[in-house]
Amino acid sequence: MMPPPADSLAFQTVLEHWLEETATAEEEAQLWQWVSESAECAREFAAATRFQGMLAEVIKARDVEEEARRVLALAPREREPTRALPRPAPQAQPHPFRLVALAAALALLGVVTVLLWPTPPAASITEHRAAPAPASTAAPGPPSPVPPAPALELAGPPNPKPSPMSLVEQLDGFFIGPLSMEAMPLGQAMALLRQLLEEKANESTLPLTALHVTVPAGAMGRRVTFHTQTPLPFLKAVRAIAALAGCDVQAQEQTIALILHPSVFPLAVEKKKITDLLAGRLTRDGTPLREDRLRLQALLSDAASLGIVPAQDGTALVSSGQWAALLQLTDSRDYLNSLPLPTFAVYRLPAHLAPSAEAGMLTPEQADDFLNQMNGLGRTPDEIISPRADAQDPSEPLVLIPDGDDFRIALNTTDTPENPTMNLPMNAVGPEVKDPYAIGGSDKITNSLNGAGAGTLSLGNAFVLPDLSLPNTIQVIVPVQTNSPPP
Amino acid sequence: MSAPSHDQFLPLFLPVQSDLRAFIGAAVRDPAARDDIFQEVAVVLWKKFEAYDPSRPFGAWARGIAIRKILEDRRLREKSPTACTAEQLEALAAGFAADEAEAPWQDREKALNRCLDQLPSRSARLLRERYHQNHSIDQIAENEGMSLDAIYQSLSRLRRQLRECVQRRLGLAID
Repeated sequence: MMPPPADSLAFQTVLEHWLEETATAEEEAQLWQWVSESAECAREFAAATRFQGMLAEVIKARDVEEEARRVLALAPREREPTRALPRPAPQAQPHPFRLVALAAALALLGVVTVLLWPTPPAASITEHRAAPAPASTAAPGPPSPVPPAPALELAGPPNPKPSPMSLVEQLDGFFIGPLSMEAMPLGQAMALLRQLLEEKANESTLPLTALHVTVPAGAMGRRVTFHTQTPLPFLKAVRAIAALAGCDVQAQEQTIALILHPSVFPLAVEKKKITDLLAGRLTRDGTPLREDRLRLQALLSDAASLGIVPAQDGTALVSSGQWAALLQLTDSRDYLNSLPLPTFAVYRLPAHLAPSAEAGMLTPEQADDFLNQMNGLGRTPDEIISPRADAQDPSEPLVLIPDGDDFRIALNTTDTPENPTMNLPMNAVGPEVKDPYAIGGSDKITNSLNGAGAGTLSLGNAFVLPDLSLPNTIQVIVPVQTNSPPP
Repeated sequence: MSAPSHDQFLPLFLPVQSDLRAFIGAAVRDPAARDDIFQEVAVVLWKKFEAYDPSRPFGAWARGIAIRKILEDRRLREKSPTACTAEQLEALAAGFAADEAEAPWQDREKALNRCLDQLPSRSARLLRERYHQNHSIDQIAENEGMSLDAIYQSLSRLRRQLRECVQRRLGLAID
């Protein structure tokens, strides 16, 4: 059958359905067939999709600008009390005081800062996240067979005492999700960070209502592109994004102030050696990070997420903002490296001794019973593993994912040559996690490890999975203790 | 042909990145997968930049790499039974090239902003709900107290009117 003209009702109807994501599988197949058979249809399809993409981008950008204008318009109200003060008669005002007043007024006008609290409605922010994405109408995924994992017992008291640390110090260790922002105005980027923080934070432990983030008006509209799967604490994320927008950050007590950096924006680039960022840094066992394969890979991955790709000699053209952002990502990994992390015991057992596990997981009580049983049998763990949180080792069966001030555990199902046997069997006990740092990527098979950061860890859920290295064998992975950070 | 140096990359990449995103979006419906592919394509473009022939349009070269990445994407092959073929993607790329040749993205963007300035507030709100807040047609219909069909028709009409407005402002023929 000949494809219809591009302006025909048949083609336009299918195209409209496709644009509105209401096309059936048959319509979608029909559309692609017409596109491949008719240059005219291909052209119309391209024009419509290009236009739709542009429309979405432009509308978002306009909304952000409007929001920024709205917020800016509110700022002067805070200075009203000073205007209400009686003004001295001009002749009575000393000359130097007038100069100071004039300078102050100019400073206020020139450096209008905006309080980003309260944040804009969630709906206006969350769509900028790369994931979780709205389900595709064409290909809805099957529901996971794995139920949500029960939380581990908390090691700390139920009502924690107020932290002696200031709020911004706490926020320098409070991890928010991976970030994805494409040409996002700085003001909106800060609002997005705030939204992510609020989603994870508990007001009883983090008094977020007291937090003030200020952004200079002159930088509100600067656009930032930043995609990273690396977990970042809130304050480090603020510093990274501010740097990309050509701003410095001053953080004190409950206030984070972005300050315009006195340089031309967009920022100029210069040649730098990426691995210089690892100079002087050590792993837990004292190895220089420059010699640590996993951290080197992580550094390159972080650099790539910022659009930095080194040449053969390890140098790359980097702007000061990119460099500062990469420094924050590196510091974040070092911070993870310094935390007390859990250790896991691995027992390899004949399949008939497998403990009864629902969806491949043992509850904390079952895990406890299992360990008692192993002790009774005089069994010692076949292996003790300590997953790293600062860089993922593809050969480790577990990964630790920082989340707020906790960690989550996920089975490592990364498809790598070093770990070829860990893929298919994982699917038997849980959904595949291609990138455990991806938002929502591992929610269904994770545990909470509250207390890991406090230095203790209660026994909690355990994983039970097939061991492909031996036939009819399973492995049980149980958290047993928390590693102390290096002195 | 002399190989381009990497300091020429950004000036070429930045103007086409929105267009590239639209191209990937035309073939991949899952927004998360789109973002993944876009990032992968950007990395490949950077890594292979020395192989780029500056006498060819950068956008066309980028779309060629995007086609390969889209086809490589395991999720697309596994989850979408109607995933497009290489031939279909090539046809789409040709369509993009033809549309791009008519007017650059940046010119259209400026024109679109002007057209949006003229929209009644209710129409602007509909577009915001759909494209900024990513509401479904169902949600918008509920918010606006209108039928699904009415919202569907309104959005369709708005898109058409805006496209025509952009075409008029750029002095292009209206289809």
